[in-house]
Amino acid sequence: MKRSFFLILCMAVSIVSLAQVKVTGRVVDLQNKPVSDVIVKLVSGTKTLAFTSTNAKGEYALELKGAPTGERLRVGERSSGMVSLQFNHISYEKVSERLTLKERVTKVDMILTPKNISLKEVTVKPDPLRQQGDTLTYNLASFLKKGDVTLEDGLKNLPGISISESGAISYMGKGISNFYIGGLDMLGGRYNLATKNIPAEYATQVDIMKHHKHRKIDADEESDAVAINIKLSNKARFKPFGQPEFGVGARENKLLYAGGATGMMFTDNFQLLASAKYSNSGNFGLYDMVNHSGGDNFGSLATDKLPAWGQVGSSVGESVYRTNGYGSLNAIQKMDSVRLVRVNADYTYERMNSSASSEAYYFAGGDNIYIAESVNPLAKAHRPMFSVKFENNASNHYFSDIFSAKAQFLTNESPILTLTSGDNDAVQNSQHRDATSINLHNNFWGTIRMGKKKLSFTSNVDFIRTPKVLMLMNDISQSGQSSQLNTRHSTSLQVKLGRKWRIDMPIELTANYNFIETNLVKPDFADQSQQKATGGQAELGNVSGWKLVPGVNPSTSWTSADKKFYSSMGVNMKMLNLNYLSRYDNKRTTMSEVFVEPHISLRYTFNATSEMSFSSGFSNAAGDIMDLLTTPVQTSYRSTSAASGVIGKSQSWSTNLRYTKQVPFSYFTFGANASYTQGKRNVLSSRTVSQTATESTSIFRDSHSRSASGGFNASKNILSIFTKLSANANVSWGSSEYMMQNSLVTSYHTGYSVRLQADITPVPWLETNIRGDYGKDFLRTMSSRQSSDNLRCTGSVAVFPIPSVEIRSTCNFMHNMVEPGKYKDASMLSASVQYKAKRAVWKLTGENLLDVRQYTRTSFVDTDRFVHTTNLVGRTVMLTCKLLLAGKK
Amino acid sequence: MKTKLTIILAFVASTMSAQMLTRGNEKLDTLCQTKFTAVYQYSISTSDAEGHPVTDSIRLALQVGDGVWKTWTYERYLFQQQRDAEIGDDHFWFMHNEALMHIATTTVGYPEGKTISLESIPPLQYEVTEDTETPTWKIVEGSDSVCGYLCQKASGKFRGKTWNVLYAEGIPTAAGPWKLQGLPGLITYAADDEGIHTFKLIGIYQEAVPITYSAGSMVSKFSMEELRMITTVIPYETATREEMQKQKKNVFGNRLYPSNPRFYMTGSNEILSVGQKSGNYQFMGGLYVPDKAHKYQPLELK
Repeated sequence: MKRSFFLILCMAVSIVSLAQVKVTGRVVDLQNKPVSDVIVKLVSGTKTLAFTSTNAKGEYALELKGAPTGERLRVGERSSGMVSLQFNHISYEKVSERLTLKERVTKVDMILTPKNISLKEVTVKPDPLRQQGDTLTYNLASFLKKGDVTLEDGLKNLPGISISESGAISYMGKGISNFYIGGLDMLGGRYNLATKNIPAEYATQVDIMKHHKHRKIDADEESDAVAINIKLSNKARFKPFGQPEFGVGARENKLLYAGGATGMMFTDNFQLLASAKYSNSGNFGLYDMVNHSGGDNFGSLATDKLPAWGQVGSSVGESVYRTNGYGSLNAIQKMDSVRLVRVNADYTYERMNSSASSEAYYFAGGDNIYIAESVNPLAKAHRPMFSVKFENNASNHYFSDIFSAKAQFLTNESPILTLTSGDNDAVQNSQHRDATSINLHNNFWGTIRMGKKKLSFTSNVDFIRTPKVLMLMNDISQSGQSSQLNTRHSTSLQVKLGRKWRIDMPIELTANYNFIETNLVKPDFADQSQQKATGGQAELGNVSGWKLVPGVNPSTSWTSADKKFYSSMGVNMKMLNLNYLSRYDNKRTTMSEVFVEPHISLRYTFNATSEMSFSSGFSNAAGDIMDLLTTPVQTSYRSTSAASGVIGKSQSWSTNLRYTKQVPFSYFTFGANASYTQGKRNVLSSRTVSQTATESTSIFRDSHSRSASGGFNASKNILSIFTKLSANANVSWGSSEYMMQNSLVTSYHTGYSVRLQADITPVPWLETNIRGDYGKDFLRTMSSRQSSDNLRCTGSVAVFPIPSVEIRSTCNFMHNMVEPGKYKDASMLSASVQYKAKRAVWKLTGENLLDVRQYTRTSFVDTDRFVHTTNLVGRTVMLTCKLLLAGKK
Repeated sequence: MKTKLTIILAFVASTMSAQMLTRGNEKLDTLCQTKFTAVYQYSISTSDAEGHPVTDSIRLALQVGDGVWKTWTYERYLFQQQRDAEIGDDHFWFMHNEALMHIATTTVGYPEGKTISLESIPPLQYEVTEDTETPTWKIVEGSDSVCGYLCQKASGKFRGKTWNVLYAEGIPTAAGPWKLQGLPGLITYAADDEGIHTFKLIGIYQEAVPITYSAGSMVSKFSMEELRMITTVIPYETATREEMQKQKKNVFGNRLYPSNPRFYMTGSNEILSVGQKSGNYQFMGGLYVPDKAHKYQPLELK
């Protein structure tokens, strides 16, 4: 046994020794000094057989196991493989020597000749992106393009960020929850004031904070919110700076003017932003005052029941002549590391008018009812607002109180010229509406932590009063008033059970008092007896009462040990108690019913770059006071509506699935989502259209609806050529039921839309932007099948002959279906020249240079088809100047 | 008795960070001149104190000289080159990342055949000397381009991890980031097979600047006598690689560490707290100590 083992060992050693070839040597320079760090490589063809580097004495030793060309190499045998021995060093000329490895040990010495090899240098740019936990920090300067002026211009270039026309910022399709400047949320939802007025060059960093928790006490909670924090450069900190702006121009032989100023100051503990603008040009400061948190244009029972007539919109060009102005004062003071006070006060004014004609084909079972109208709506709105917020945001307690007072004074006119089929005479109808409302609101939110327990209390009090809405339509008078006192109080006890489980037990009480009164006076009122009964007033509606909803929503959440999986589920139980009185017919309606609403949400985090979330829930809604306002109300010269008198109840079940992936250092983001909703309501909307009137009501019969949608979005930045590519696609499907001309109609809608966008900077002096949108809609009922599609392409080219001058031209092309098989095209052209000096930005803008004055498109609303011809705002030329005034530090 | 001296210095940006970045009366030995400097983006995929997956990232400078190369934080390299403007306004974020990622300064080839690492376990800094060890590389099929350089693929085992790398034969040196070296060209990309650690080349400067070695760590203190900040040089503690591995595993690998990075500290510790807008930065023995840390992901398993 021992002998066998010895024989095998000898054979193995013999084979190994036969296969090994060693190449050794020494490398010196011309002065015979040893050269260290020389890469020595044995190469056969393009294949590296062995490699090493020289030591401090210039010595190397290479061992080769196996033959260079795949054959076994035996010492003493003639090998067919010629090899090359290469010597390479960054400070010497590269040399190589051809060898035939005949010997077991081959010695090759080499003398190198000095030669500096030039490396292709790669400059490290300022870190465009840093990642720290859930926060991505972008160096904004790395993403800025030459023509960018405002912070919004810069933010648009960041991966995953998209900004809507109204300025709403979203990250990977999800709207941001907070907008901070230097860690302070001064503007709330009105962050456009900052993004549209802070110069891009003043912002150094943009932090995108995923899984953001504004309240420090929620640090251990799950969140899928995204927030943005802007860090300003030292140029913008600790000293005031401002931007006066002014402009002058012409449009349709009218003088246009614009003027405004924005002043700002940002210190570590105090921030101030004051801005005022006024213009009749249409888009000067237009979106500055948009509140992305909502709630600015509040509605009341009376204004919802008697709504205003809207302006005519257009998806290409501008259709609304607008005069707008605002004044806004915002300040935030950080009192210490946890407490702050914020004050926001605004006044906005807006005047809008537009004009259009439309041809409506109302579904009427067999032949459609044709009505042609020409409208010229005019709207004026004054909206003052004041709010003050106190916040104490510590890691073991949180208190905040927000008080706001708002008012709106609205005037609305909408004269309509009407032409019906079979009637060649056009009829002029006048419509006028005035509405005034006030809203007082207080919100308190307090949370304290007691060990593993967290106790919260919230209280919302909302008072809305509309003293009068008056609508005059030809000789018809419709008025209304309403009062609402809505309160919601809740308390919640949250208990952590170990590291994985959490139990939440919120108790909520909603208590509302509502009152609405409507009064319709028609000169040719048919029911004379009713006029007498109401003392000469034709149709009087008056409903008041209260709603009391106690509820409890126990829920539990579980997080896996590796925090990758999170689940939450609960059941919301509420008891709806209603007591409404209709004074007109002295009818009292009461209801007391328990509703149960289960809900679940799941989230799985695959890794730091991708996660998937799922949520599903069942919800009930019931008891709208409007359901009991059975008295007809007139909402336009030809439309009336009346409620069913039955308390509406609806149930819906919604499911959402969402997947997001981001590869930060590849500047790639991807998101996909899908949702499904199914609902049932105990009343069915009903509408009857005739040549002279449209009547809407609800009847006591179940109606069902279903909808599904899905989509994806992706964006990729290629920093080397300042390019951002993005793509979005969405598909939706839905079905709904309603009564049309006393027939039950089930309609099915399917829609597709695709958007592709590329912002490319192929050379430093040229920027291009191309965007294409395509959408197609299908509408199917039992008796009809309709479809429409539209294509929109937008391209812009900006040339920078010198870095401070931008010449930009933008072209819009629309290809829309007007009627089946018939399409209409429209092209719009605009151009601008911008000069950026050190302290001023001058811009000459020409909009609608081709002076296109009309735009036609088709739309579907339920089973009705409309062909709109919108009158567009004519050629506009405007010169604006924005100055930058910065004080000395 | 446990005593702590906490000095709050609010809104002191440039001067304080200069001291934290150890420029001043530091004694530096020049080892050699560089042939070039390569800059890498180094990332670690790990999890935070709550267990959420996170990716930390920092830039590293690899200074390559004749037979000696040194890997350290790019911002410290910039600071030594007096290129302060390139560090940016916020001097503190990279110290935070340095601490989260346990970045060591690694000098390969000094002394000859040895590698010296300056490792930190606050409040002490350790000098660890070991024999230079080359991973067992195997050149594999495939190539790619990094920073415009054509690179060949290779794979190698090094102290318990398998590394997949790209190297550029157009840059003839055996150097690479950290202790990864020994290929016939500069290592331009390296990732371990678990996808935890990644080095990616992002810049190259052909320059001749000194590769230095500091004899001790700089510690900034507030002198109650002189009522000003003073900086002193404290010699490094010394440890073998095995001792250091064990100590880091015990401290950084402890389950308490992510939520309380000071859990292991006892006795008297002098804390220098520097107030910045983005928060308070606390230093012990000249080393930044974060409030919360991330799960430790060692580069060497053996």
